[in-house]
Amino acid sequence: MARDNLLELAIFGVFTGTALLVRGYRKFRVRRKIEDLPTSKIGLAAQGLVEFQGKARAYGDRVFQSMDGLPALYSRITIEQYRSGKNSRWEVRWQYDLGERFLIEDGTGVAHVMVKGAELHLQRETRLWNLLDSARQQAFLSASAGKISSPSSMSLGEWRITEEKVTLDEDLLVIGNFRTRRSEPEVVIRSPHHHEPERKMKSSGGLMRDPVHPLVLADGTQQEVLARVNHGVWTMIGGAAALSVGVLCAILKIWGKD
Amino acid sequence: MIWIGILVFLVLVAGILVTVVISVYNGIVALKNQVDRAWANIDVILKQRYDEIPQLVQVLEQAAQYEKSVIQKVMDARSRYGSARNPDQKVKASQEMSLALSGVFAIGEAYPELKSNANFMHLQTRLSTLEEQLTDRREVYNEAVTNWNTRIAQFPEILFRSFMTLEERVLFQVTEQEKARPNLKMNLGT
Repeated sequence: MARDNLLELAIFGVFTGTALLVRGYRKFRVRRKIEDLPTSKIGLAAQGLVEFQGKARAYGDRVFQSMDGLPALYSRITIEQYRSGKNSRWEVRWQYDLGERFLIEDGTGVAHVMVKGAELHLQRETRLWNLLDSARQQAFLSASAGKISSPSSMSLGEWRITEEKVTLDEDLLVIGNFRTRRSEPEVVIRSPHHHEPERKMKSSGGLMRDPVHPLVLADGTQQEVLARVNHGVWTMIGGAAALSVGVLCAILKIWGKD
Repeated sequence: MIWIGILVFLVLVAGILVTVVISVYNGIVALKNQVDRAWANIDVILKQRYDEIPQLVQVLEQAAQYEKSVIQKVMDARSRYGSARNPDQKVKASQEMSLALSGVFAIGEAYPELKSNANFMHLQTRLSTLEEQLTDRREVYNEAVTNWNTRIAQFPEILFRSFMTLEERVLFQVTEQEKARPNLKMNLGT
C-alpha cells in the first residue's frame, strides 16, 4: 500500500474511530440507564431517581406549534450555518429551548417535568431555513426572544434549523430526580381528543435535573427507545475497530519510513 | 520509531481496557445502589405500618374484645418484624403482618360498631394506602433485583463476580397464603 494512503487511512481511522467510540459510548450509557432503572408509577413513586413512562400533557395553555404544525409542549431549536472551505461543516450558531415545563401522566398520577438542562433523545427534524415559509421563519425568530442577534444575515449563505420536540399526547420516557409535593395545587388535563372532557388531578410532584441525576427525555415506549439506542454498542465496536486500523496504519507508515 | 509506534498502540489499548473496567465497575455499583434504594423505599412503608399497629390494636381491644386471638396474631407479627435484622427476615415478617392485618379487617364485618368508629376507619384507610404503596414498591424492588441478578450473570460483569463477591438477591414474592387472603376493600364493603 502506498505510504500516502497509509497516512490518510491512519488519520481517518484515528479521528473517525474516536468519534464513533465516544458517540457509541454515550448511547450505551443511556441504554444502561434505562435498563437498570425500574419503571415507577407516578402516583406511588418514591423520591429520588425514578423512571416514568406516560403520555405528555400540557401544563395550562402552554402549547405551541412545532415546525411541522403539530401541538408541541417543548422544543429545542438548533440553527446552524454551513461553513464552506477546507474544513466544511455545519456550525451551530444559536440554540434555544421553547417551553419550560409540561406534565406526564401514566394513569396512576401526573407529575410536572421541568425541562431545563435535559439530555434529549427525541426524534429530530431538520429543514433548510430558506425552505420554511416566511410565517414560520418569523415565528422562530420571535420565539427566540432576541437570542438570534442578526436575523437579516440569515438570508445569505446556507442555514438549517433542527427541532427536537415533545408533542402533546405522545408516549414519553423520562428519567430524573423526583420530588413529591403534598401541597401542589390541582392541574387541568386536557386531552387532544375533543370528545374527552377535561380532568382535574393533583400533581404527585416534579421531575427535574440535579447535579447528580441528569434529566433524560426520550419519546416512545421503553422498548422503542431501547431499540433506538441499541446500536450504540455496535457503534462503539465499529469505532474501536476503526481506531485500531488507524493506529495500525500509522505504525506501518512509520515502519515503512524506517 | 517503530517501537514508539508500538508503545503508542499499547498505551491506547491499555487506555481502552481501563476505561471499560471502570465503566463496568461503576455500572455494577450503580445497579447495587438501585436495589438497596428500592429495598429502603419498601422498608420505609413497612416501618410506617409497624408504627400504626399499636393504635389499631387499641381501637380493636375496646370494640372487639372477644377477638383476642386475632389481635394477638397482629401483635406477634409486629414483634417479629421489630426483631428482624436483614431484608430476608423483614420480608418474611412483613408477609406475616399482612396476613394478620387482613384477619383484623375481616372482623370489621362482624362488629358494626367498628365500621362506625372514626378511628378504626381512619386506620383502615391509612393501612390500605400503605398496602397499595407496598405493592407498587415491591414491583419496583423485584424489577431492580431482576436487573441485578441478570446483569451479574452476563458478560463482562460475570468476570467481576468472584473478586467483588457479587451475590444474587432474593425477590420479594407473594406467598400462597397472601394470594388466598380476601381483598380488604371487599370485606369492609367499600
